[in-house]
Amino acid sequence: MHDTERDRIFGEWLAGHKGILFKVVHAYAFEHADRQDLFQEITIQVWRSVDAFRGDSSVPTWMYRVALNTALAWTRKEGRHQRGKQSLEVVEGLLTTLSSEERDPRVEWLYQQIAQLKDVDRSVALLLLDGFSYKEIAAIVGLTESNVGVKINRIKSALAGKSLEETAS
Amino acid sequence: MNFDELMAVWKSQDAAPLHDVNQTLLHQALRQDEARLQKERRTEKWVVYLFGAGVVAAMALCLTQLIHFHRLASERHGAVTGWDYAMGIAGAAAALLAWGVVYVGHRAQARREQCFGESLRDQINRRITQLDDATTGGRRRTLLLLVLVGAIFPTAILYFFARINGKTLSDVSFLPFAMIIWCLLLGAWTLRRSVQRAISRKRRLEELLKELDGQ
Repeated sequence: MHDTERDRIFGEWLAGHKGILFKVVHAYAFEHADRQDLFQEITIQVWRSVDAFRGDSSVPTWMYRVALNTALAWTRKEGRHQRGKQSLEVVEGLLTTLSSEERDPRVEWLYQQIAQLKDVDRSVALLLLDGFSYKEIAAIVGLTESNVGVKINRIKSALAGKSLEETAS
Repeated sequence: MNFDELMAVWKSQDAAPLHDVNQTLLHQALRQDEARLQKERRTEKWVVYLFGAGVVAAMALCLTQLIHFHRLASERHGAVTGWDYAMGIAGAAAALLAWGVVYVGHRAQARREQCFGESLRDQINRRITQLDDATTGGRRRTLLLLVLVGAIFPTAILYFFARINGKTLSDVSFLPFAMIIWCLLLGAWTLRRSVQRAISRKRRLEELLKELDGQ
């Protein structure tokens, strides 16, 4: 595929679904510098993946798949955070974040709860909240639908429980 | 809040995302990555080409030494023995085999190019298989390369230098052998470290797989 064609497709994907990338970045990276790094890594992987997209799934499903795979790989990189090293030369200012006053505290609360889940459950939670079906989640994560069902029940009760605690307090 | 309300809250960020992206910088980051990737590929290609040229030169050197020695064979040098032929052929074969090992490794690396479109589980399993290969087949290939390039080929060259000068291999000073041994040890140590890293990464991926299965 020619670079300009790839750029065009990538531009369309980003314009239509950049929210997916923001959600994954916000759920897996917690510091400003880490978010910049993860966002850059994800966008590069999405850009590289344009050639491999055959249209078997929808673009949002594809982008979620690439973004989650990259985020999970990113969190597991050996000694990355301890060494303070980054695999890419991070372009500062690539990702801008709204100030805390501008953010909806309920959304922030949701991210805080998601951050407490295990890495894989976090992926399932993001997909669930974005309205993906059990079948789609199973295909993205590579689990059986019944297994996804078990995870979703656990996630739903955890979130509902926390919400009740929050309301009570 | 029930779950439907939580979903509604979650979806509210589609209208007002928590982040925004600087398109100019993004374009710059992508170009930067593309340039880095192209540079890596060019370097890899040149390493393989140069290694190939080195192999041809090494084979030629071994065979020239053998032919040269054959011509020089005299009372001083002694008759050409089976060992002379064996060392010449072994040196050339070691260089050729080393080229084969590098070529196979290069092809295996090319096959490992990251691809998308499969589930997270498939990606993890594929990576574990690659790490398995790095700790078994890959390790064997590197060890073979070490022995071929680090030991057999230089020993063959040393042997011919000694024979041409009317000496035997045992007359050669200890220094070149010490250097060969040092190179072999350094190579073995580097290989051990890379295998250890691969094993620890594999363990982490296996943990992730367990987490995926809810264990």
